[in-house]
Amino acid sequence: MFTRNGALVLLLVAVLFRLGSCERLRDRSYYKLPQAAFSACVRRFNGTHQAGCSSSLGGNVGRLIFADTAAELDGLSRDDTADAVLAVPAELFALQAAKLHGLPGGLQGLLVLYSESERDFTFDFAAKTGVNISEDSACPNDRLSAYRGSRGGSCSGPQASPAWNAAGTSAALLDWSFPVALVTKSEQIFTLKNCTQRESSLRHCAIELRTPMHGAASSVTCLRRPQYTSLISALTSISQLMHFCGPMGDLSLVWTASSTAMPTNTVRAPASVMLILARLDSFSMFASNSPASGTLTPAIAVLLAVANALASSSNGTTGRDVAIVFVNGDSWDYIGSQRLVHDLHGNQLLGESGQPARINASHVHSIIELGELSNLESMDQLAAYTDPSVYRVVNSTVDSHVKSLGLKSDALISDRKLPPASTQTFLRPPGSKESAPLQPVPALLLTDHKRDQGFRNRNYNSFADLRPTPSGVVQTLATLADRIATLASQFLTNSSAAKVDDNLLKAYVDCLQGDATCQHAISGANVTKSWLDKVYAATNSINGLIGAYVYEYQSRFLPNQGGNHLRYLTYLLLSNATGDIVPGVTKRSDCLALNTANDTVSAGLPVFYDLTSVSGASNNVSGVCLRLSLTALPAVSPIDSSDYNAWSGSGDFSTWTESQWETPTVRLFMRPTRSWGAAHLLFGVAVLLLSLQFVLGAKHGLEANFPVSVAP
Amino acid sequence: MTLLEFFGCSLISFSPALIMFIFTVANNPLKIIILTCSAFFWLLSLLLSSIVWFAVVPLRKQLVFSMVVSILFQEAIRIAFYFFINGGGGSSGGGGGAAAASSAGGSEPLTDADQVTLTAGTGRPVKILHLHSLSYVCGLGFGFMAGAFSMVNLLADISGPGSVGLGGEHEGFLLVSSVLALMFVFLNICWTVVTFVCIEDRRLYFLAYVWGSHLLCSLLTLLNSSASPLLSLVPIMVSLTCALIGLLLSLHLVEANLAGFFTSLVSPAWMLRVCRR
Repeated sequence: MFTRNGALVLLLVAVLFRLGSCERLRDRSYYKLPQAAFSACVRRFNGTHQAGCSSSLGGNVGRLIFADTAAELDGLSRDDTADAVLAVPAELFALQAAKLHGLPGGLQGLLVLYSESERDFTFDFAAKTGVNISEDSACPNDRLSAYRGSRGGSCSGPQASPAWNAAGTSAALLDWSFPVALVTKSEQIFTLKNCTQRESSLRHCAIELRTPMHGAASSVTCLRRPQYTSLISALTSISQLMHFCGPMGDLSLVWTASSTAMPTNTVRAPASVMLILARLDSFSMFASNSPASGTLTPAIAVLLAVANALASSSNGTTGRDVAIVFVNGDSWDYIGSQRLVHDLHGNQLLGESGQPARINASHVHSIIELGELSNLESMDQLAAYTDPSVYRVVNSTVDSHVKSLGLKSDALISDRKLPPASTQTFLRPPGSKESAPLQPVPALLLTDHKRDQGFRNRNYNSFADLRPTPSGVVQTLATLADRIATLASQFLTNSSAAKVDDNLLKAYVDCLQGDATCQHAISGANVTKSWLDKVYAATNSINGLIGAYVYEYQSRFLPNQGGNHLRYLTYLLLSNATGDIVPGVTKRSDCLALNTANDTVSAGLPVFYDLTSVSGASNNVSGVCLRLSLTALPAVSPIDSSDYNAWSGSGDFSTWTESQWETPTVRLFMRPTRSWGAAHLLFGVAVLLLSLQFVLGAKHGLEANFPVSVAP
Repeated sequence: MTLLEFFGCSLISFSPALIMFIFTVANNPLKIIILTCSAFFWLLSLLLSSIVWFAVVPLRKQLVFSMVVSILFQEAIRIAFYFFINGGGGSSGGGGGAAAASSAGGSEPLTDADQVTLTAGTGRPVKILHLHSLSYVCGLGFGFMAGAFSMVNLLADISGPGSVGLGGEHEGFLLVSSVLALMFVFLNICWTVVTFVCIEDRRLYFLAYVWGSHLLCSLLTLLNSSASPLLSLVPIMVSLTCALIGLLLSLHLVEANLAGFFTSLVSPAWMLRVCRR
């Protein structure tokens, strides 16, 4: 008997101990998605509109519902979406972006589920799902194209090709009335779906999206707004709260091949500089999830390889120069190229202490821009676009370039308007009259899409632009890089000494796509896998991919810090490709001391290049000191911050600004149905009324037993 | 919807205590002082429990240990409070303090000596409050604090956009918790009345009921964290049973007429009295 009772007691104690582990109910009731598991849609502005999304200040809350197919989406009634957060797979978002944008105002938010398992580097969103998604418009950057105004834009008129970006949904340019977030981790997607299994008739799963944006309306509105709060700011010293948005921008990178032969104070000869351009940025409505594998990687890799080839070959003193330019911010109405052209025409480009010799507009000989090249499987597919009206004036230089590049005559497309590209800004500088002819600058845009084709990359400017560059394309890129290097070398020194290392180009492609094993192919002992891993750790901090998004411009930006992650990585690779190792200098302090030395021979800017610790190295950390001739230029609209008329879009400059925002959060939890909540309240009221009766009744009945006060 | 739950649970847990306070305590300043004082003593027991919890590091995560320690301290403080308010247990007259209570009489009919008294600086006892009323008010103070501490965190947690359930709690978890808080308010009143009368009458064996039922009811509340609504009924049923026993015992100890009491519970006589006024 005792044994049985003892066992029961022990069992009860064991059960109680198991149940008695303490965990705060709030911690059990809310599941907060990790920051790395999602990206929030942010808000941006141009001169007249706002784009993107914002939640209310306290966050938007709604019942979690799913729609996996278009049929399910169509089947949702207004009642279903009212007070709900809808979760859809990325394919459905790609197909139905416009419909989702137009869902009734009662919808509290949208989750786009883009499983991590579908995002490895073997995944091609377009090929695997048959769905294309681009968050840019069908005719990107058309408002400030060279063909704006009476020329009818890039995508219309007799000389226009079909919409360049046929897959464009404009999702990132729409003003969404509810917050949107991209969930990218498989584990969290499973958790969201699993939650619905806990639902019953009494309660359901709900989600809170908190992504409040501080700015509203338009660039001019949010830039002007701090004026109205200046009194509050002065009285309360909370000026940091009075910043609602700021101009978007980053840094463009410039490397000139003749920097060692042409000191800063050199006056260049007319038509003595060849510009070779590639873009550095992309975007998505989910700011931190803006990869650009297809759009940017091939062109950047080619340009890096060309820079390395030119740096490795001996430079002559012909008085000519080749400038390798990585333009930043051009996804947003050509921010970077507008600034370059503005400085070029204002005689302000380079020429400062420690920089290469100044370049102005008259110095430009020609421009070669590398566009989309991710589908360039053979050189026969290469297309060289040039503007028809410009070609009629400068056809000899253009033809010469085409011939030097080894292109067939049908590769040159000179009877069509240029596709969206930075070159357009060089042909029609901001501020030029509408009736004025385009600048007669020999300019070629090299792309993989031929006449009457749109972009072949169907994920242009989107969160799904992850397509790896196929090995066959890499081989063709090596050929293209070699021909460009030869062309540049001939221009530079009248010789074809520059040769591109195929393995190096492949390594650059791998590095840009996040493969740290690329270090094996990069020459020199100064690139290690651990270094690259640190670079990736710094650049891939959000979602395991290299973002190419341009945030709000900060004047304190350094080329190896903050901002556009792809620019950061490109800067490091370009440093490695073009820098000269300073022998015998291994300490940071010694390397920095060279900055103050009168290094007039090279006119380069010695910069400590610490390969063992990418950032925050102490003075005693050993590394490799590189003498660099790289220059980082601000890629931000030149509009004065107080020129509200220009910020309202009246001028020719980009007016894109980005809102300030707080750290976004997404929380999952259960919520009672309205009837179950009402049942609680009714029960409570019933208890209140019964208490009234019982207490007053008992008081009446027990007065004799519980005498209250006695008069003293 | 969570707001509806919030107010519903708040009413369930605290509306009886609030009604008791308004109609049986609030009209007497001394009762308010004693209620506050008893609530403070309950907090003292919590402080002592916390010190032990803090000191015994290996068992910090075990609620059972903390709970048992806390119950022991609560009961000790309940007894200590009796002696504190009773001024050291003298038969009458004030002790050395400004507010000293005394009583005598045991189970005999109530006499003037059963009044809680104050010395007004003259050495003469001043009759103020009856021991039974005192124990009731003290119990309400204890119960109010116990209920508050068991529900405030819960109410704070459900005041946000979400409610419970993601951690596996069943739909009725909040209702059960609220009812349990209500039961503990009521139980504390019974336990205090029984404790005070037992000590007064030297019938200490009734304390076994107080301590035993306190341990049993408290430990069984841990079952409410289970995903099974049926399991959550166990603490409610046990608490209800203990509360009924406690009520009957209290009424017996204060020599109340049980039939009259239960009749008065459902009788509208108080309404008639209010109307006559």
